[in-house]
Amino acid sequence: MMVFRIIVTGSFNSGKTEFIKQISEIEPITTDKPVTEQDLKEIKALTTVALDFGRLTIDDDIIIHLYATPGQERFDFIYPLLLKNALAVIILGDITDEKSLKDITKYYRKFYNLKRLPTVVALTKTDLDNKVQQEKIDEYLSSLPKDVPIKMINATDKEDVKKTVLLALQMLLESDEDQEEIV
Amino acid sequence: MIKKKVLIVCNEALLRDLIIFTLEKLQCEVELVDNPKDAVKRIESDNYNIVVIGDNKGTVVKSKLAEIIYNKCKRKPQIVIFKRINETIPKEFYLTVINKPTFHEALLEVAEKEGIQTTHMHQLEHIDLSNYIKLPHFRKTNIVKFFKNLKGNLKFHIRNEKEEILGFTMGADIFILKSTLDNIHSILLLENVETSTEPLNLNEFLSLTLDTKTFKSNLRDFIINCVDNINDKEKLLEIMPERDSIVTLKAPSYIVKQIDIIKENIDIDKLNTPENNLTINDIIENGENINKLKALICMHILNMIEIEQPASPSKYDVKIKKSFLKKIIDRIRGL
Ligand SMILES: Nc1nc2c(ncn2[C@@H]2O[C@H](COP(=O)(O)OP(=O)(O)O)[C@@H](O)[C@H]2O)c(=O)[nH]1
Ligand SMILES: [Mg+2]
Repeated sequence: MMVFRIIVTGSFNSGKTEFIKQISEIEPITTDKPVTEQDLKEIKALTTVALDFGRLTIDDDIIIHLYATPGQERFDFIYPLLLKNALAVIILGDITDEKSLKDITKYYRKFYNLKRLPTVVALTKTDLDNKVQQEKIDEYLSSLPKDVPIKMINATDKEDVKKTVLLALQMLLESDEDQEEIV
Repeated sequence: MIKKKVLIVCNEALLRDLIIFTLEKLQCEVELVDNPKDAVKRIESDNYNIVVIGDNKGTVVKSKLAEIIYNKCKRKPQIVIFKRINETIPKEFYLTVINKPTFHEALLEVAEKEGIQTTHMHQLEHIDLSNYIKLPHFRKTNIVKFFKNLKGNLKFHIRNEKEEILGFTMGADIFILKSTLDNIHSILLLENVETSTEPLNLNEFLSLTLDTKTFKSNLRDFIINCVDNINDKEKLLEIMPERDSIVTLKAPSYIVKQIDIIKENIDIDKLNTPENNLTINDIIENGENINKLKALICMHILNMIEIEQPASPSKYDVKIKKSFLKKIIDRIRGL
């Protein structure tokens, strides 16, 4: 049995729990209430942190664990551990909340400096009216590298969430065309 | 008796006249030019016993002009330099350095106070900068990369929608002939820049005239001042993005240690031990220490360090069989 992880981060209220909910086969839970023995083993080390946790079974051999982390500095110690076996990082920013948008580059840097992972930025709540001005959004995101895609989504919409995750995985798939497969 | 010949390279009216007056009293035959190019032309076609170099219309530093003249002369002359207070002139056996007298300047100041016109005594010439670069070919450039790759003896034109800077390098020096920036040391903050360069040949250099607006600095000091001028940590971090890259020292450590900002902030000996495998992040303490960050950026732009991405087989640090990844993608698609 192999477990891979997908990490969702972003400021408080940016839609992380909603995001995970869309593709998890279990209700997202905080890690002090894991469901199965198997899950418990895998996430034991992470239980002290306020993470949301979801799961997606691929087949008999592969499981995806979905983690939502608030990305706050007081949890910095957990990230190296969390990023083990990680496939992608999704960074959420609430398009109605300036602070949340400002935090995106901070989170990007944090994860980029820990590990090179395909990373997608998704701006949530794009279905709402009270969006931050476009110029401000552009300004807050201007220092992101150009190869980081920025998607506009509704985190309560399953198709949007699927597309976001698929985009990150596609980046991974295309990153090493001529590379030998490694187990 | 054959008169001894003297060439004066100077454009400062009063001082020049004083020198001529003195030398003619000594029965010398005095010739006068006001710029390095004409000076070189004269000494190539005639022999002089003495060459006097004062402030002139050229941008070439006096010691460099003296060296050029000395090397080109068939009959080696005595060379005299009138040195300003803040000028440094390296010792050479063929040079006599005289502190430039200032009494005449004081005299002019007094005269000015009495409303007497003195401008014709100062010689200020404006440089014609149209067609500065003869064959302009502008390319989009990152300004930091531009300075990192900037070679000696080049004319350059830097511009974006708002600003324009014209200058050149000569040896290890940078000259700015025109700049729209309030502070030339903010040049590294320019964005969306395009640049055009062209080689600067010696003749052209000698004929370039300088006026009081010409900014001149040692290129190294210039870069250091520009980096030091950036106090926005985010901007500094943008210059050093690949922070897990390994840094090795390329320049001799004794040279690096001559630079204060580096010496005071970077442990050069530690950096110079390859086994330490120091990354950018290690050196700048994960971006917390802004002075270390500045020092490292100086070393980067001055090409004193090599920055190497650790060998990574793929763009990402992910190990997964492609077939597994494809399965995961298919599963999510089908959700
Ligand atoms: N309309 C709308 N509401 C959203 C969206 N994303 C999240 N929400 C709501 O915003 C609130 C915070 O979302 P949550 O997932 O708990 O944020 P978290 O703190 O990042 O886990 C909840 O009430 C969500 O239902 C979105 O894209 N559109
Ligand atoms: Mg939540």
